[in-house]
Amino acid sequence: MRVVQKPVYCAVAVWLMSCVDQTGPVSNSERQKSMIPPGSIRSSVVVPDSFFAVLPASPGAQVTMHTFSDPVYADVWVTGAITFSSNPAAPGYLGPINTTNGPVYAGGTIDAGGGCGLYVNVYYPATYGTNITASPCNSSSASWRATSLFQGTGYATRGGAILEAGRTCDPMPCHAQSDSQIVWIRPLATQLVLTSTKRFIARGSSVTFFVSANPNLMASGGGRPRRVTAWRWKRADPSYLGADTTHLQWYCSNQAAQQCSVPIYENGTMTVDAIVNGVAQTRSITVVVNVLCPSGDTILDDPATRALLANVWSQSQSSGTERKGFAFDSAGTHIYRIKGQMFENTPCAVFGSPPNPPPGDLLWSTHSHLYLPGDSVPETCRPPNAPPDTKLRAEWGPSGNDWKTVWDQQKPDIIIDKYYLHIIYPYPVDSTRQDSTQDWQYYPKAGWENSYFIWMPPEGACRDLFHNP
Amino acid sequence: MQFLLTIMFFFSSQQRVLTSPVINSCRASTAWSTSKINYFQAIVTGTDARNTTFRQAYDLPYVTTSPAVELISDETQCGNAVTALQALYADGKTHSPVFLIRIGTTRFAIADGSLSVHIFDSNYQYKFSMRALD
Repeated sequence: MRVVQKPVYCAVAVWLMSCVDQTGPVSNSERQKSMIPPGSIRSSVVVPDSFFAVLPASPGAQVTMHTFSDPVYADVWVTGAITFSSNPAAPGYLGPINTTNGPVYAGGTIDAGGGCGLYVNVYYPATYGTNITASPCNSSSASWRATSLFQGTGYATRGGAILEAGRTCDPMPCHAQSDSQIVWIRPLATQLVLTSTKRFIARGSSVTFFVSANPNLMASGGGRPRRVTAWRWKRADPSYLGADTTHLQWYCSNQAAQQCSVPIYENGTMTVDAIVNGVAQTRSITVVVNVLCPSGDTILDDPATRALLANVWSQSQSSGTERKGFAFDSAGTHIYRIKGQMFENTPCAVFGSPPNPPPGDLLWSTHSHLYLPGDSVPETCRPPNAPPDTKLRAEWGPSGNDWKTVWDQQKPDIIIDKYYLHIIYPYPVDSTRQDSTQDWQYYPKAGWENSYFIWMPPEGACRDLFHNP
Repeated sequence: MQFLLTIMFFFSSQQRVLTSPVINSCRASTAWSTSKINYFQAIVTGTDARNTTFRQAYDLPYVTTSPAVELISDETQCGNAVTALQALYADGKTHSPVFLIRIGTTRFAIADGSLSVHIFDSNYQYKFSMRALD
């Protein structure tokens, strides 16, 4: 499979993937309000609420921050400035304490006697074994910001007064502070992700469901701010009364677990509820049992995938050349396309890059191989440097160029030949050539075997799914 | 004058040394040759239906000895392989050195720098050439 730019495509199928619910709670506080930050936000990302508290300038002042019952990975920052002013009329005034005499932003570079005063400190109780504080004592900046893991009820505290050692400023202070600042805290946006080992299975097969998040927020101590609150299984047919049914309570009762393995006996939907970075979210995956001719591979057992592969194979037979297709994900909807015929295509090679711009995120590509091992290949397959009048026999499986394509696109490729379906996953390649007159030869580095899946549909109806639909 | 002649003789002798032909018909092992050995190894030693079919399709032997497939470094055998490859190409160009891969006791796979693989029997009689599908 080689890549050449030429945007000619035809859509062949659209497959609607599992339904995704997106919910975000509304949090309220008497003196904290939520707000949605400005800017363009992807609809699939849950944007948590922001919370703020007003912190006076007076030394030692303290205000209560928002309470997070679950740990959250959050940004904390301060906006506004307090005013620091000198009072030359004070009897002991010897001049300004330092160059700061006016607005003071997030914190305390104000230095008097080596001390640090009037800074803002944000404190939350212990989470993952450590106290969480954010103290911009050494950073006086309007854009000061810190990110950490917070849980419980937090406080914002003003640092102590500036030390005026050696000065006689009593009873009239030599310096004073006024106004207030706003202390913000906002959990980072992330979305719950639910994946499974399989979606199309033989009845009674065990399926493992995994919870993760994107981005996968993780504190330095390894803690992840997410908690599963429920696993739910809903039969597609509520009246189903098979001898065996799917029972989650025996397999998925440990809500602390981030995964659940369960035998599935009927079509249905697995749903997980979780608190992810402080926001309740829900995701679902549909599972279909008794798929015709299961391969055990999630991609290959998807009926939409099979439809595309059958179409690629059919068009290869019609054109007498290899052909190519792509699958994309666009916000949960899968889009399938077959590359239009390229004049460079031969019975032994296919060319063409994905659509540009792509209709979504590339999931995988596919292309056909027309020959099996030992098959004679036509003269149009003869390499320029091959000796004349020799008998060309096909090699089997992915070529070095196929491996390189997969490594370059970082997505798997499915090769369909007369009997087999090969899936190759991204794996590093090496290359060599004799000299500058020769083409580069690619091959996967040692250990590629685990990145290669082969399946031969049983002869008959199963093979016909792909080769004679 | 004598100095100039000495200098000219020095460079002329150096050039002779640098351009003198190196007789080496065998290519040393590379990751590429290893990948090809692995390909044939699976086919000639596999006991499953797939590899059995592939052996028949390629007319390759079933091999139970070890190593079933190996890279040959014997100059005499590589010289024979070069001779066979020169006859196959018959293009007046030099197709040496070569990768010479022994497959069981009845087949050789030979490739020069172009990395096209050609299959010969144990008497260096040409059988067929391999074409990877891209």
